[in-house]
Amino acid sequence: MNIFLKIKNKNRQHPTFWGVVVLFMLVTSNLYAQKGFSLTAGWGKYELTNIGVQWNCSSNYSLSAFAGSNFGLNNNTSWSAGMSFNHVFRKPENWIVKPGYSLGTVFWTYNDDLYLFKTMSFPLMALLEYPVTSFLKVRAEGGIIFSAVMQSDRKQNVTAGYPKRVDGNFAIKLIYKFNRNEQ
Amino acid sequence: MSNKIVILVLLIFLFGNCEKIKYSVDNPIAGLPTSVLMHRGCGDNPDFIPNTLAAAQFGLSKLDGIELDIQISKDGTLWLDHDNEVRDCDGNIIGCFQEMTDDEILMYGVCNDTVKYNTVESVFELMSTKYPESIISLDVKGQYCEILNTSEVMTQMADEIARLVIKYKMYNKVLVESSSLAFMDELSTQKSIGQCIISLGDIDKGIADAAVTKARGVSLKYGQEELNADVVSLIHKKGYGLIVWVINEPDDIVDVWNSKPDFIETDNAEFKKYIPTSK
Repeated sequence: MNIFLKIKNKNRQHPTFWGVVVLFMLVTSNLYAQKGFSLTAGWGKYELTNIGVQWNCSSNYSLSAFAGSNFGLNNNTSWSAGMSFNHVFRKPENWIVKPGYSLGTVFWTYNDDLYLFKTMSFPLMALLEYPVTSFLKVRAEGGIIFSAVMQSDRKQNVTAGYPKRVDGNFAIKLIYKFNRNEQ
Repeated sequence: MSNKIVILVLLIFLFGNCEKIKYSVDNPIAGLPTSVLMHRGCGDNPDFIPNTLAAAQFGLSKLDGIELDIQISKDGTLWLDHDNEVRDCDGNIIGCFQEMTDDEILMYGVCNDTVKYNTVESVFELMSTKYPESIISLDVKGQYCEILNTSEVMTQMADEIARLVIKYKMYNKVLVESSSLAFMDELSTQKSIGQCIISLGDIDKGIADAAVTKARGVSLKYGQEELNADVVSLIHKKGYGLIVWVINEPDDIVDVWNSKPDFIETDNAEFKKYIPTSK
């Protein structure tokens, strides 16, 4: 059964969530020794509060994957999972904040008393990356996101809503790199 | 630098509001008494070629109105047909409507003394003289032979429909069903034509699309989602009319009739025999 369908109590975290967190930590612990991997944690309008991993293909390019939740806040239960390709420009070299862009996909669910939506979204984001320390970066992203609804279940006949097909998106992400000497 | 970061973060947060779900505002309308339209003019009657003048005449004589599929020629004339291709009497594809002139289409319009291509204008002429109270719904088909010019062609189709409505004084008797943004946009200011956005089953998508395209109704394919009087009331509450298609079976006729949509399209010429009598 789809784990998203099991989530009914919006005020309590489902055990599956903590299972995913533990599994994530176990898996990522094996990545600690891997060159070019980073751990990420952040928040985004569509990405929600999320944790993930990033594979730094080079000093400019990276691929990241994440999973997130809204922890049942705002009277709805939402989950997200996604991946993205990120390109950070290293020039001009005298800029501390590096610009770039990010492309990806986000699958997200929205479940409240009115609706259950399952949606696939495609963000096109501009980003700015700031190195806080040699192993910690903060990345801010803003852009546009296109959404296609895969499932909509209306639970009432009082009001009608639908996910925005085109919307603004924004996200903040902390990127912790284990091997600080590696570019 | 830290100030710039703070400003950047604030700007990003201001980029959009936090609601990912857009809820439709209430704009209640009174629903119309349900009218029944014969799908493709003749429904499933094998004695007629669907989407022809003869089929339309049959449908108009049986029910409250008709539904017909339309195409546009190179000359800008609206023709009746479901498919975008013009075929000869053996069924071979000759070309596409929008790539052929009216004369070229007419060359293939008669097979064994039976007319298979008629113009929309011929139906409007018939309706304005013999069936002035009847309703016609025009299903605007995609013009996929010229996909690069789709928007332009759709706009042209919308303009031609508006012209014919004025010419034959068919005010408030013509519905159009389309999923083309360009088509809907061109007719958005027309108050005497019922523009309906097509939804292939998702009622909420239909309502959302209607809001985006400024449509006056939703044309809903039946059977994907439960349809009852409460759902139809919701659609009316949001300000949209409803066409439901295609309802043929007696059980479905009862269910959909009881839900009180504005229009029902059917292939069943005996539709009204199955309408439940009010207690």
